[in-house]
Amino acid sequence: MQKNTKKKSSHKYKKNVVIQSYLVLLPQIVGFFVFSIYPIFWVVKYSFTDYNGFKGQFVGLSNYIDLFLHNRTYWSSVGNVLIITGMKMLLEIPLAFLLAMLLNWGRLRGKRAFSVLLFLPSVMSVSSAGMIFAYIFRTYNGMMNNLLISLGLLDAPVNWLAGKWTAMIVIVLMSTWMTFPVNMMYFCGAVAGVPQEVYESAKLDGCVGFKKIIYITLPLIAPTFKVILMLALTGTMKVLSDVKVLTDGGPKGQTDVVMLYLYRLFFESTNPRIGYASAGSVIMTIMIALITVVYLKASKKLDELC
Amino acid sequence: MKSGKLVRTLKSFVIYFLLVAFVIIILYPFFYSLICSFKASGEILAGKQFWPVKWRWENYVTAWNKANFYKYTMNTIFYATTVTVISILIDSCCGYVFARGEFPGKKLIFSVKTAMMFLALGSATMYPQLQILSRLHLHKTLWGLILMTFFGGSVAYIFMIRAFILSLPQELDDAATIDGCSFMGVFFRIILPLIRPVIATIGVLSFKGAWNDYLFPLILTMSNPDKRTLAVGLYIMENGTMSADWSIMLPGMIISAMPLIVIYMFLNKYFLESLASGAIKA
Repeated sequence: MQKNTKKKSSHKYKKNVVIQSYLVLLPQIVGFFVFSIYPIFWVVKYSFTDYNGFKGQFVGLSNYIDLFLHNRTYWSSVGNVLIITGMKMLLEIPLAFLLAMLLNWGRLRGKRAFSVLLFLPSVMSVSSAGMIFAYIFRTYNGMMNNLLISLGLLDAPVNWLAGKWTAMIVIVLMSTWMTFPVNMMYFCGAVAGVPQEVYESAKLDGCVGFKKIIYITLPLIAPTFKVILMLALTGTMKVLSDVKVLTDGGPKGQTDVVMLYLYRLFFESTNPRIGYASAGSVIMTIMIALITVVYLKASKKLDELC
Repeated sequence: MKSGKLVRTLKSFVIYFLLVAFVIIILYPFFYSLICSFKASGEILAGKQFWPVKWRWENYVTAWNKANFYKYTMNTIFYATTVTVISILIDSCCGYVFARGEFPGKKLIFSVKTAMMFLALGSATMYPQLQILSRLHLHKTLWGLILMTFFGGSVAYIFMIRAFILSLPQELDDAATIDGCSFMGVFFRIILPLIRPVIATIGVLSFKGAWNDYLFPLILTMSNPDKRTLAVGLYIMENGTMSADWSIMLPGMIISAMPLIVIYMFLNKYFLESLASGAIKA
């Protein structure tokens, strides 16, 4: 008898757990469907129409065909994304790794203070950072121009944001300035996780200095390294705000990136082409997904080779 | 032996030198803008001296009163605080349910949410999201923004809380259950006090996220200047009517960045630890 009631109450308790769990998750699930799932289906559906904000009809694949065959702006903005991503990775990942190595040096005093100061840029908003960099790189008496002229590297002030490649440099520098601290901290955590004994036994085998980094540290943090690289890669593929605050795609769309180009079609043009922009979004999303998959496959292959 | 000591000293010198150099290079842009925010606009254009001739606090008064930064600040405080409170309340409950609850569909819900984290479409779905808000008549209020930030945002916070709760011993829950605590009762009486560190982390991260949020607030307040946040107001000012007057724009930038920097200086532990603790591995 005693046992029976206990079983019954435990059953009731379990049922209560289920009810309470669902009640807690309910707002999240509703919000998730309304604000995450539904918009995806919406974009896919409207990518087959010529919807312009008021009316639209089914046009089949013509948006996709036009984007693939006739839209040079779209593909040059894809090219710009790749250029910015490449330049940024080359600058950011080594910088973050180098700083993490310096911060993890065993006899360093004030590691916390250095980390706090180096991390500061990532607390700023993209509009603040955009303003700081626009200010530093302004043409007349801008800090960077004056510095380069006084060093003898430039003869006359450069209008940085008015030329495609100079503007790209400013975009990459600002973007790196804002995001390297996060990667630096990721690397810091990974490097600190390498057991000290490994280094000591390597030292006995005569492995010191840079050899230590190449043969011990890098292989041991490889899993984290791969995740950091992937997050940085896919994050930069979606770049929009960084370019918007600095050049807004200018001069003449030469620094346009895909997301910014689509954003303008969606929100800022006098003749919005929602259906067309939706098709562009779908293509871009599939491309990012493909790059992620290829990256994961390639890094797995590399593992087998090593 | 003596040369070994010399090498060691040299090595520490190089490392400290590099670190100090990087700190200076990285912080200089901000520091320089901070100094210049006290200059008169003529001085900024001439750009000759490093220090201002006279420290013009009136630049800040102008930005605060005439350039609407008072209103932007109030909007931002309201927006960021509300988002933070809601995130802490709901995300910690959800993290607990995912860690300790047993209910049909748990795996499914959890894996769909995880998948969405990688399939984040960013700006591509903002148009339909805005349409939903306008159908709910929330597209002209900060509440619409709050709703969007919270539900459209990432599930990373729920994951962090779940991971933290999973690391706590299950016996705690069992003991409380035997004493007659209900499922959510265990959460509020036992678990909540124990997860304070991770709640603090989520608090600062979501506050920072909302404070700096830029793109969605920009779209939502395009025709609604009264509801603009600092990040949006700053962008509009740089590209709008007052553009090129650095003696107002730079103080505006400092006003929008400083509160968060001060919070960061005091609570830096929570900003940094979530990243360095190897959360990325999970």
